[in-house]
Amino acid sequence: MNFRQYHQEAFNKMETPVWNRVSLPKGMFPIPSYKMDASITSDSEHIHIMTFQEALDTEHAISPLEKEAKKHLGDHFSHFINGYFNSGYVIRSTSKALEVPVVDIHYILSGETRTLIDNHLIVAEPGAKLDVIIDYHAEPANENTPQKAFEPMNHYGLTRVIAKHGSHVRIFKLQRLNQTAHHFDQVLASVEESAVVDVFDIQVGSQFKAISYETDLKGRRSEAHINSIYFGDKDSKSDLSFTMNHQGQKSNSSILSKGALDSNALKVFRGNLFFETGASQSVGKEEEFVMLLGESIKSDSIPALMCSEDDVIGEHAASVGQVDLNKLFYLMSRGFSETEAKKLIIKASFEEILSAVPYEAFKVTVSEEVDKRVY
Amino acid sequence: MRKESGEHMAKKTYIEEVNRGVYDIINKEDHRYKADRGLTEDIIREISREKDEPQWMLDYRLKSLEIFNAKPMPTWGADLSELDMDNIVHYVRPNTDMSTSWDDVPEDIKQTFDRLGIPEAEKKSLAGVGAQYDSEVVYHSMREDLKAKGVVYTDMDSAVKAYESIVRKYFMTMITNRDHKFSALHGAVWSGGSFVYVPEGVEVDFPLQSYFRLNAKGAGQFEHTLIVVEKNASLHFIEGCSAPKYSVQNLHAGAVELFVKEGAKLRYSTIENWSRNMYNLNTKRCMVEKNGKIEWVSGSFGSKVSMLYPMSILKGEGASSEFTGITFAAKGQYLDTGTKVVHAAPNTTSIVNSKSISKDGGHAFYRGLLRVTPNAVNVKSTVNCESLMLDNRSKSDTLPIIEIGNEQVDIGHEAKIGRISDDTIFYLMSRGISEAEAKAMIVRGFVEPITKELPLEYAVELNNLINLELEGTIG
Repeated sequence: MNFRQYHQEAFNKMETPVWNRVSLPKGMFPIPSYKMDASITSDSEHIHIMTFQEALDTEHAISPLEKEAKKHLGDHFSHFINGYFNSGYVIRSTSKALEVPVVDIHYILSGETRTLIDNHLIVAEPGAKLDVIIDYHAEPANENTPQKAFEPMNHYGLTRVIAKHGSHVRIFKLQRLNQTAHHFDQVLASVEESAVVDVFDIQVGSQFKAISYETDLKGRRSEAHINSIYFGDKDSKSDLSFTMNHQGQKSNSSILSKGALDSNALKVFRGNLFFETGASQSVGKEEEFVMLLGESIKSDSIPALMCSEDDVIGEHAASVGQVDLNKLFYLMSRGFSETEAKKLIIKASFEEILSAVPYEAFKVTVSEEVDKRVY
Repeated sequence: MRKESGEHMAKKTYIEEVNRGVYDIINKEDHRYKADRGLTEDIIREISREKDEPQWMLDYRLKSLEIFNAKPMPTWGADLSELDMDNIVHYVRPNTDMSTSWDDVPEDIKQTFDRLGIPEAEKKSLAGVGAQYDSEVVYHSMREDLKAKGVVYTDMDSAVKAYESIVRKYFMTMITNRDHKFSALHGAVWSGGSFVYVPEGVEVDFPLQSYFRLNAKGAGQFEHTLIVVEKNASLHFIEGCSAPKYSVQNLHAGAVELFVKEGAKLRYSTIENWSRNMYNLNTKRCMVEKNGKIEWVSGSFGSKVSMLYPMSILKGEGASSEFTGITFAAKGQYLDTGTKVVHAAPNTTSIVNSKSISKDGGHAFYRGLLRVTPNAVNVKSTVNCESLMLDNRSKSDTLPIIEIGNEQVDIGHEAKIGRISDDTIFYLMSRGISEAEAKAMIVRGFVEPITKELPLEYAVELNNLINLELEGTIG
């Protein structure tokens, strides 16, 4: 039985999942009959790219360990994605050059190709560097758009990241699908000795979004930093989950989340820091800031610190509140309209994360998307 | 990032187990009536007959038993698989009647409470005392002037008969027998506990204290505490619990229902030092009306397993709650504690301060919930949890859940986990303080915000404990 068949069978045996805090939307797990290609560019000869399917079909292109995907959003999702993916790439970097190589992946979902299931593997070989940008984008509707294009777009994604000894991987994810889309994304990272994984996850679209990052800090002095920005549109539902498993000594992690929620938005944030025995002198920090913009909001935060090693520092902090009226008043007294002032305050809050992003175009896109969605 | 010099194996502060001394003295069992092990309808009827209860109470007990049998054992927290419900004696009546004079209490029981310092405390600093031995209250007294003002402080069983209308109005309305398996069990076999009624406008200036002692082996204690503080009244109530250690399991599944009316104030302090064979599965809830205030002070030191989450329901506008808790989990202990706050009205405020220490393989778990309902606007709340781990055989977990149902809120939360920082010790030592003293200072500083809220005698005891245990054990 091949890889796909195995997962398809496992998927078909499972019962429909039920989530407690955020009820799952109808019409889950559509099986697409088409392949989807991304526009993918790379600027270095030390980057090797092939599609996930090609890698499966080529002997030794992908090791069993690299194919492994733990449950995270649930076995259901990993079996579905592994069984029915219609896109996805294996990206390997061996580049040790000073200039960090960049792989730029753009997906455009449209009325015709509404379902994207992407399965990725990103590997940084020992000492290598790599930046990967993944942008999920919806083709805007116009008067020629067929009616069915207004049905929800679906994205189901699985990204495995393996950062080997001393490597440095940065992932920039931008999700800006339209306001009816369903977006499920999980990222599983394994960080070896002295390696670093930095993530910038920006979620501005979709009616329903569930994302899950699970990072194993396996090696000594391994590091992982997740920076998350999200905007909960009107009537949207978000389930965001970030987990750090500290296994290696002196491992270091941080989760920083900045979010804004508009009217009727529902959000669940889960931040988990696990310190396993032996992860001595590790440091883990988790911070969540939520700005409440509209009415009838529901915002749940579930930060967990699970510790079985004493010689560690674990911290979490959360702060939830409305836009600071003093700031708003000040800006409005300087001639900004209320909406413009709100936009400025939101963007200023996101700036703490975005200022660390070295890609101008990426930042401009995020800023434009926020402008479009706050009104 | 730590400096390389921190590479060497870090030295650890060692705190000995809490010296339980007087708590572990076992009295010979002398009971008038002891129910059979396990739980059957006959036992329930027998308990009710022994107590000469009204019919509605018996009906409630039987209904609760039915629910108890139907509900599954909870699996989300502590491991309760070792808890053998069929081996617990649910009702033990000591061979004495309730007394209002200390002299009438049987000698061995009296000695027990003497050793725990209860009558001494009554003389010095309390307005009233109640003492429960196994399933029944053996002693209750209160200052005369409070009686004159209409304050009622009596055991729950007497209250069912003497103040039936008040008891019926409040009894198990906030904690119902449908809430969870152990509240159903409580509804079926509850016995003893205290009933306090403070009439409108009366301020009780000295605390009342109830002490619960479980002496019988393999028994359960299921006391019910019901406190009603009427409009603009105030009260400080102290609850102490202990039991000697046996090799078999004991079970404590009490219920505490507190009603704080408009503008009233209640402080509820608990010092729990059950023995290490005790399953402490207690339920506590408080309903606070307009501008009322509840203050919980909670110290959990004993028991094998604890699952205890005092809950404040801020029902009236402007109501507030404050929770201050400390948990000390040592060898073989799993202490799953925390608090729940429900903001169900506008302009309500809450503060949660929780500290835990785990050592020697102990497992401390903070599990909390802060919920703001959609109509509760202008809510302000802060939650702080700090955990100190003294070695890496121990475990410390924090899970504070925050659920916000509207946008007009201001919520802050912070949690920290870790061990005694080398930098702090170094700083203190550079100021001429010895290492041992520095560590003791840090631990004392860590628990200080809590100890200052404890009743004085307990605070002194806790501080002494830290001094004694840290002395000579470091280095």
